[in-house]
Amino acid sequence: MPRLVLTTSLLIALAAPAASAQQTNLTPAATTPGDGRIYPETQLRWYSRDGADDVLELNQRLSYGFGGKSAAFLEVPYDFDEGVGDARLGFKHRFLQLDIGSVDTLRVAAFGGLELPTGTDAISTDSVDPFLGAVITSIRGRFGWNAAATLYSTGDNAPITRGPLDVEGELVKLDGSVAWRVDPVEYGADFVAATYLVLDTNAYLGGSDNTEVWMSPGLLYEAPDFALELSLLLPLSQDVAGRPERDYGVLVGLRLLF
Amino acid sequence: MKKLILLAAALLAACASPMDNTSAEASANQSYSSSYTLTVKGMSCPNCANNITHELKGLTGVEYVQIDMGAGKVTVHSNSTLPDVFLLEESVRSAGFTPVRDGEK
Repeated sequence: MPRLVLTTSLLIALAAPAASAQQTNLTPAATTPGDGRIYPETQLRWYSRDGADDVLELNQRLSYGFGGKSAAFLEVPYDFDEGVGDARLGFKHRFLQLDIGSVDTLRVAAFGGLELPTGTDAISTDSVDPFLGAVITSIRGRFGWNAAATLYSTGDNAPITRGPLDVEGELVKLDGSVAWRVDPVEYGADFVAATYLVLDTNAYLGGSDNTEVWMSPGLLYEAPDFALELSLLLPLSQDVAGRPERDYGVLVGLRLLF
Repeated sequence: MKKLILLAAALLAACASPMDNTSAEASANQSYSSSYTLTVKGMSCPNCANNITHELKGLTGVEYVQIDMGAGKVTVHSNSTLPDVFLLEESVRSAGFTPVRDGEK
């Protein structure tokens, strides 16, 4: 069953480039803030765990746009029980952009960076760890798709903690998402906000004892200068050792555009 | 968990609230001495339009930017001299989108 789920997730991710999306709640997009714009994003995630205390996490991300095609970003996770986690400092560059209609577009970006040992002892890998990935975003009318693959490498001293990205060794994360604009059906001359139904599929493939697949239906409300996110986090498969499985979770998020 | 539910409810309530377009409507109803319309591709979301508006309003002379996302049209208005069209197009590119001249695909 886990293999079937993983294969399905992979197929969704691979199929995405053929279709067309906004940045959904849990999947990267090949989009960047405009030149000189600052884009803070905050996500609060609550998880219920099997036979263990609930987990409440806050993820802060700050992006800064360069030249319309590039962005630098800083991501700082916070665990309400353990404290600050390891920060990620990265750079994203969009190297392909095919704007094929007033709304329709196909974009491809690469990103990479370093995870810095800024976290508290309990949740830090205590090493500078690289990550590298690529993402495709396609939007066609009311439908959008994103597909991303990221390779994370973690040092040998990593403790087995709460999340799949903290376990030592290499891990591939595959993200696939779809967004459907439910309102407005058509953009008009009025400057309006948009509401999307979104579905994110996120697979953490770190070998035996560190594999998780999640599917998260949600809502995304996007106004010109902010966006609100709400998702239900549902595990499809968990093969984890040394940490409790998560039963389900809830995500609420806020993005601002300055 | 209760706090999370309350926060989620507040977010949903915010989603349901209509946007305040009062200032935008006021600007749209003003008359301007000069205007220029650009065709722009790839404006797929409200954030995208915001990026374009911000870039164009940073140019000297641009007083109001009107965007029709469905038609892919961006109109800049001014009561003084508008910037050169090349500057307008460059600003659209800096925002991350593609300006198209008449006759281009």
